[in-house]
Parts: sequence; structure tokens; C-alpha cells
Amino acid sequence: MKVLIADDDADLRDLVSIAVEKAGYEVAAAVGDGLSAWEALKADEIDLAVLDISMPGLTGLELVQRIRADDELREQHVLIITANAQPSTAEAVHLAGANGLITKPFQVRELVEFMRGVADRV
Amino acid sequence: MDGQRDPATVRVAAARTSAHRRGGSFGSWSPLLKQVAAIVAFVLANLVLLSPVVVEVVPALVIVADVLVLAAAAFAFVLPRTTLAPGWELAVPVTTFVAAALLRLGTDGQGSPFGALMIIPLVWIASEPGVRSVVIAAAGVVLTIALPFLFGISAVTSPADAVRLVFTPVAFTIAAVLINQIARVVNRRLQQLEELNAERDRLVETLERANRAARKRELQAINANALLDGVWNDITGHAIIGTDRSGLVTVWNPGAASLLGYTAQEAIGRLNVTELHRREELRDFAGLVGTARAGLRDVRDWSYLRKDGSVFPAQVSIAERLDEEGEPAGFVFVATDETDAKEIERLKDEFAGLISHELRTPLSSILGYVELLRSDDDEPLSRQQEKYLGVVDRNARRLLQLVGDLLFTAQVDSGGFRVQAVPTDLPGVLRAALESARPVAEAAGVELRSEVAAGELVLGADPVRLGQAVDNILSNAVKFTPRGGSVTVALESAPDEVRIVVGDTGYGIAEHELHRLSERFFRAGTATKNAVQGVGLGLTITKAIVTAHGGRIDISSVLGEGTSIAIALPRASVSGSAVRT
Repeated sequence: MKVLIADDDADLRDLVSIAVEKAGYEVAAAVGDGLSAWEALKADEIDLAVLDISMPGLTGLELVQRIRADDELREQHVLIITANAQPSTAEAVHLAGANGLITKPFQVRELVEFMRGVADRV
Repeated sequence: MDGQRDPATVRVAAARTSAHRRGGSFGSWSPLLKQVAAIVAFVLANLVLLSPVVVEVVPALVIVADVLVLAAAAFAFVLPRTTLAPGWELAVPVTTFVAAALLRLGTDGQGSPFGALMIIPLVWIASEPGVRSVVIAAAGVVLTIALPFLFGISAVTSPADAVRLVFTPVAFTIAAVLINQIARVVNRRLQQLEELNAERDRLVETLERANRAARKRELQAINANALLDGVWNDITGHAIIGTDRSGLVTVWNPGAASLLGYTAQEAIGRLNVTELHRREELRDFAGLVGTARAGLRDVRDWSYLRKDGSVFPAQVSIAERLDEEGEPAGFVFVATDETDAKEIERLKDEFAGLISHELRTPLSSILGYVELLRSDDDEPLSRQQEKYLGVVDRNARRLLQLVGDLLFTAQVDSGGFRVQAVPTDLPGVLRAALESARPVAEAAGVELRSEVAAGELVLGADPVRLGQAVDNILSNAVKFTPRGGSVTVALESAPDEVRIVVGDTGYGIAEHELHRLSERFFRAGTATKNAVQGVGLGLTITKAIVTAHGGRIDISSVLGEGTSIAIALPRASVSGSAVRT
């Protein structure tokens, strides 16, 4: 399974990358902004996009909306990781059409479990 | 009418009039004025005596008579200026009577031409009230008539003389009685007249007082109107709009003009309040005033349209207006521009979000990498490394807890905190809290006791938030209890409420600090003294959660003996499920 990681925090990007690799999956790309993530999604066949909300260029939520509106990417699996734990954020993530939401700080185990669930489906 | 007439002056005048009435029958005449008649008569008598008349005169008696009349006049002059009782006035006519008797005696007695002079003091005396006056007058007449015979100046020479000697006093006494009666009637009339006058004065005074009070009220009303006008014109931050029952504007304050752009002339009688609303927000007027019509308080956020078409957020309070008969006459709308408030709210949310993000992101890295290190089976950690990383992990989680608590209080402040009540098993919540507190309690050497009975007790509550509240109280109790002490959790059930009670055998809290415990960042003296960790947010959060459930927190504590904190939840907050015990 190929995973795209988009987070403007390099340390967290690396942390997620390590978790992906430890779970036995492939990191297709690890980028720091929304536009690069969009380009990576269009350029490569990605099974799961793990997106931060707060990113320069395009936010994670805008990216999900763009993915859902795109004919090719409509069925893309998307996991949002955010540091904003407000109930309103969870609602916005759900409305935008993401498949899952994990709030920071997260347990690596939790992330791996979500990826396993997606891997079973793809 | 004399508007400034002093009521005290009126009273003094009435008293003076009353004193004169008591002093003589000539009403308000002064004693000297009354004596003028006698003086004039005596002057005439003396003038007659100076002319060559055929009368035997005893000059000494005439002079004594003149002196007495003058002395009486002098007394009459000084009497009002002394403090003597008004009754002393009678001394004037009595003296004059004696003078008249002496003059008659000194001018041939029975044959004197001046006998008629006694009429003057007689009228005065007889006009004084009471039988006593008649007796004095009669005695005076008898004396005057009898004196010449007693002194041998005259003698009874014929039966007619004898008759005259008896008849004259009788006739004069009858006259005195008549005068006395007439004076009594006149006096009574005068008294009635004076009473009427006094009554009139009182009425005039009352009327003047009422006039003054009315004038004062009028001035107050004028001032109040001026104040109201001032306030009305000064209220520029709020639009106050009155309408009739159909929503047509009837009142439009300067605040409404400044906020909405319509002048009073443009709005009153022309604008319907529904035109201030966007069509997508409001279908009809009935929808706008339905709540107010039902007699309920209606305060809602609306988008208001200005004359130029621009929109601003407004908080609008609507109330029904009643007329004098209590019938619905229309509505009053008070709208407040919420633009700034909304902006502040947005900035606050943005700030909370920013803080949340900026603090949680580095904490995520710390906790994530610690987890990676500790779960790496390929390269297991040494015991010491494991211990050090445990410290890093624990402190990172403390920071995380603090961030969560700060965000929570910010959420409570902004009014954005709501509990989601579902049927919740309270013993289950307490058992979970006890389990999560157990490791810390064991490490601190504090015994955890449960007095939670087996079985279910279901209340409508937010299990996550309630759990957080119990966790806070329980962890506080453990932190405030020294090694060897104990913490007991109990669940008490009463007909109208359920109480979760956490008691400890710890340091206790000073009585004067108890009411401050739920203040943000407040730390009890015993917390600082015993180096108990914390920032003073736990109980603030607990209180917010309990209040949101409609409950309350009861705290009792004795320094050195321990503290008992109870969360009381009303059974009425049950939703979706009946309480089962």
C-alpha cells in the first residue's frame, strides 16, 4: 500500500513515515504543503493520503474537498491528522468527506491500526 | 393669591385675633382705643365745669376723677406691652366707673349733670362675657347712685327720690344684661366668623401646598422627560424600534438611524421591520414575533440589512408592547450591533486554535518518538533508558493535560461548552475513575476505598465529561493526602439528587479558602506548603462540568483532618432513561 504524507511539521512527517514503514507499507511521498500533496496525488497512484489540516498552500480540509470533487480521485482514502481537538473541527472534517480523523498527539499504534483497516480494503 | 405666604404667619395671626376676642367685646379694638370715649366725655365734662354753670363743685373729687380716667388710659396704653393676663383689661372700665362716680359725687351728686357718664364704662364691662361682668356693672351703678346719699351730699326728699334710688340701678342692670347678651351673640358670631376665616386660611394653605407639590411634580416630569430625551438621543449603539401590530415602524431612535441608515422620517410609518431582515432568514412577521406574542423573552441573533444593502450581525431582543387597557399594541425591538463581539469571538477561537495547534504539534512529536523508542523490539532499551523515557513521557502528558485544561476553560468562557447527555451508569463512571487513579494512589502510598454499591444507577449525563470531573476530584484527593492516608469514593442516592462523594484524610483546606477553590489558577495554602503539583484549573473545570449538568459542588474541610467534596446531580436531569437503583 502506498501512502502520501502531508504535514508542515518535518518531525511529525518523519514520525508518520516511520510508522508507515514499520507497518510494512510504502511512503509514496512526504510533503510539507497542500499544493505539493495535490500534485503528488495527481502524479502517483496513492492508496491512502494522511493529511494535516493546517498547511500552507492548501489546508487539509480544502484538499479533501478538492479530492472529492475530482473525477479521478473521488474514491481516494483520506486520513486527517489535526492538533485541533474542537468538536467543530471534527464536524468540519466529517462534512468535507475524510475517511478518518486522528487528533494530535496520537499513538503510533492508533495510526497503524487505521492503516491496516485501509489496507484490508484496497 | 400670595403664593409665598408662610403658614407660620397665618397661625400667629389667628392666635392674635383669638387673644383680642378674649380681651373685649369690641373685637380687635385695643383697650386704649376703647378708653378714648371716656377721655372725650371727661374732657367735655371738665370744659362744662370751667364755664359758669350753676353746679356745686367739689374740686378735689373732680381732680381725683380726672386723674383716675387718665391713669386708666395710661394703663390701657401699657397693658398690651406687658405680660399681664388679658383679664386685667377690665381694670380700665372699672377705674373709669369709679371716676364717673366720683365726678358725679363732686358735682352735686343726685343733681349732677354728668351721671350719664357711667354709661361708657358700663357698656364696656357689660359687653365682657359672663355673669360676672353684669354683676360688676350693676355694682358700679348702685355705687354711683348711692354714693351721694352715703356721703350726705344728696338726701331722699320725696318718694320719687326713693323710687329713683332703686329704679335707676335696676334699669341699668337690665341694660347691662341686654348688652351682655347682645355681646355674647355678637361674640359667638365673631368667633364663628373667625373659625370660618381660620378654616379658609387652612384650606388656602392646603391648596397652596397642593399647588406647590403639583408644580414640583411638573418640574420633575419636565426633568425626567429631558433626561429621557438625552438618554434616547445618546443611545447610539443600540437601535430601539417600536412597531404597530403589523410590524410598521412607529418609533425609531437615533441609534436605529445610525445603525441602519434610515432617518426617522424615512422609517416611521413607511418601513416594516421585516424589511430589515434577509429573506432567507425570515419568512414573515409572524415568524419574527411569535415568541414575544406568546409572552416569552425572545433574544436572538439575526442578520440586519442596512438601507445601503450591507449586512451586519445583530442581537435583537423582542418584546410585546401593551396599550393602556393592557391590549397588545405592537412590539419593541432592541437591536445591538454584534460586529465587534463576533470579531472578538472569532479572534478568541482563532487564538485558542493556534495555541492548541502550536503546543500540541511539538508534544505529538515528543510523545510519538518516545513511543517509537519504547516499542522498538529490535533494539530494546536498558532499564535506565526506559526509566528516563518514562519521565519524558509523563511530563509531556502533563503539558498536554494543561493545554487541554486551558482550552477547556476558554471554551467555557466563550459559552461554547455543552454536555451531551446520554443514559449513563454512574457506578460504572466511578469504577473507571477509581481504576485510573489506582496506580498514582499506590505509588503515593494512599489507600483507595470504594463505597459504591453493586448495581446500576442510570442518570442522563455526559459520561466523558462526568468522568473527567470525577477524575479531577479523585486525583486532587490523592495528591492532597500524605502517605498512609486514605481516599474514599461513595455514591449516595436521595429522592431528588444523586451525590458522588470523595473524602480524604489529607491536609485539608483552610475555611477562608474554601469559597475560592473553583477560581481559576487558585491554589490552596496547603497545596503550596506541601508542594502538591497542579496549576489550579482542576476544580474550575469540574465546576463547569457539574454546572452544565444542572448540579452543584459541596465542599467541607478541616485543616489537618481531610476534605470531602461532593458532586450533587439532580435526578431531574435524567434524559432518555429512568433512574434505577
